[in-house]
Amino acid sequence: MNYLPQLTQRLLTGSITIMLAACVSYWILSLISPNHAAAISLDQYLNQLLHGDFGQSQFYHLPNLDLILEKLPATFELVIITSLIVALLALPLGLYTAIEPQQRVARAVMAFSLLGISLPMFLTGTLMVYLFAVQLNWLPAFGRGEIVWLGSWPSGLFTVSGWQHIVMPATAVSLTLLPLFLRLIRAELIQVMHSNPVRLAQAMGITPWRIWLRYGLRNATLPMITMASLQFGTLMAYTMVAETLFQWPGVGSLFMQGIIRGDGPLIAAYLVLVSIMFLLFNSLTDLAYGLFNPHLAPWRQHTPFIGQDTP
Amino acid sequence: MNAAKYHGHHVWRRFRRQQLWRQLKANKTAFVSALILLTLGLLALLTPWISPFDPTDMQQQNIMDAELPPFWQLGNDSRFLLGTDGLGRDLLSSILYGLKNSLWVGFWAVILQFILGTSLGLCAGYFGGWADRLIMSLADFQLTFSSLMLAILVLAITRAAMGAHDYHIWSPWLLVLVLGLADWPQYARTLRASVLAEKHKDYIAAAQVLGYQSRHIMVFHILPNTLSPLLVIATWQIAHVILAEAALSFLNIGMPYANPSLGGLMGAGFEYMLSGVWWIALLPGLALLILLLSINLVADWLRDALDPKNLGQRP
Repeated sequence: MNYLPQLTQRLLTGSITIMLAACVSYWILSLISPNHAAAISLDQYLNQLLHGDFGQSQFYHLPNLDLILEKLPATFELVIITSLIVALLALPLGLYTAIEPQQRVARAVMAFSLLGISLPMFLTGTLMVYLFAVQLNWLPAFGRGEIVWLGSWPSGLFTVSGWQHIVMPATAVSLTLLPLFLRLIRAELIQVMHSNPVRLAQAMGITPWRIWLRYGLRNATLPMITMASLQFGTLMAYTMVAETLFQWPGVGSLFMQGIIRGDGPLIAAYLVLVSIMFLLFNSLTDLAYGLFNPHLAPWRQHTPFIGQDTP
Repeated sequence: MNAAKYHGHHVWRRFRRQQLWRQLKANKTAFVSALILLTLGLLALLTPWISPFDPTDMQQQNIMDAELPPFWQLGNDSRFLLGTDGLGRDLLSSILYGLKNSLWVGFWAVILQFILGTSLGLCAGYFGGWADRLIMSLADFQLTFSSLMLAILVLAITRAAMGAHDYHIWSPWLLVLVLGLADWPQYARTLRASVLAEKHKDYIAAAQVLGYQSRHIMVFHILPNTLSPLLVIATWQIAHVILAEAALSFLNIGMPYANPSLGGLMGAGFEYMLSGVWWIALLPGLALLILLLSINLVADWLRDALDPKNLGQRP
């Protein structure tokens, strides 16, 4: 049982990071709303944060935490649907373009992915709004639609109007991330398909499907997790753009409104919460690393991973 | 063998031998996109002289000319080839100025990234030890934040602290600074790996024996031989920075509204689109798309052309 030192180290670095983020947020509070920062010392500020008090918004006169938690479900659902679209499309398309790189459809997919890298998200979004909302009048251009309360969680995923509203923002964000994952999976698979174990498997007469899934996709999971952890921030950033573009009532648009109104306390609280979120997500990816690659499991004794540092 | 690789890595030598030029002529897609990119670059350089109006000059604006359509639609005005925006500014001139501004930010931010990433990567690879560990853990730390998210947070907070008016006086320089500082780890990592592969070769040992200083060896001996992957990254990064700047402008924390970039033009045009006036948002968007696509295609070609694996190939 030697996961305890790992765990304590992680908890320690995590709390130091959040501590630093809290200090930075106090400094930013003093920059944006000096009178708010003057009313409270750094000690008091940190103490309040420790007790879960994130202060009051200057504009809404409501607790920041309540404001952010109220908007969080909308952002969360948008992020989840976007990630699902990316995962469900990138896996089969990556597999297909790696297996049949010369086919016409595969080439079209790759050309499309190059276009997707060059296409700014808000251009796709703007085009979609013009086409589907203004010209064809099929989909609503803004808002979140009808919501259903699941306990204290307002969800838009259980009504037709909710789905109609989420289609365009989620598609717009996923179209920017899809090419990255598609190209990554394709490159990994092509590399694996020419490796010795796969040749051996082919020589042994193992069915192609089994080879693609067991040898190919499994080898692509680790780079995919790395990519996902690196692109989490990008996803957040583009979600913010999408929330502004489609007037999605999420945390990102709350933050941008706070910026325009100069709402210091709200911005400071948002920063602390975002750093906590980043930290949680990084721990999750480390856990996922451990699940897919026993070498890197955080609950195991650290063994140097060959090939990681040697040039 | 080593000597051949040495010469092969040497970008300028390859330019002199005209291999790159020959490869460019052979690849039609790359040739066309390089041509388009060159044209766009020239247009951006010559903008103040060729643009029919000056969109930054309030004197030339007339609100009576607002929302005129481009030349192929009914109700157009022959003075405004691509129509006008909501303030009556000529859209063609705005797009030319926007192109200039987007390229300006992309160019300078990438120069900054290149200098920062290259010097840090060289030091990390050449000196090793604690400098290496420090620089590389900094790079890892930086990579866990996305550069776009970092730029959004930093610039948004700067805007809130300075106020919208003061912020937009400084925003072009702030954009270059933030986007330039946010994306150096890619260069540093790539360069460090190639420096590690290079530094035990004989010519470095020879230079050391001859008594050259570390700085001289790093800049004049190692860097020229590890330049090609950096050039590819830099080309890609220009597209990436322009895209990021466009997103920032769209969020109203990019180039000032009085002197917008292509992304800012789109953001300003978006509200008109809901009433069916599409050209204010979509024409600058089309220009942005062409610009980014041509940069990406040229970068892809450059990657293949500079790849040592394709060294012996003569098209």
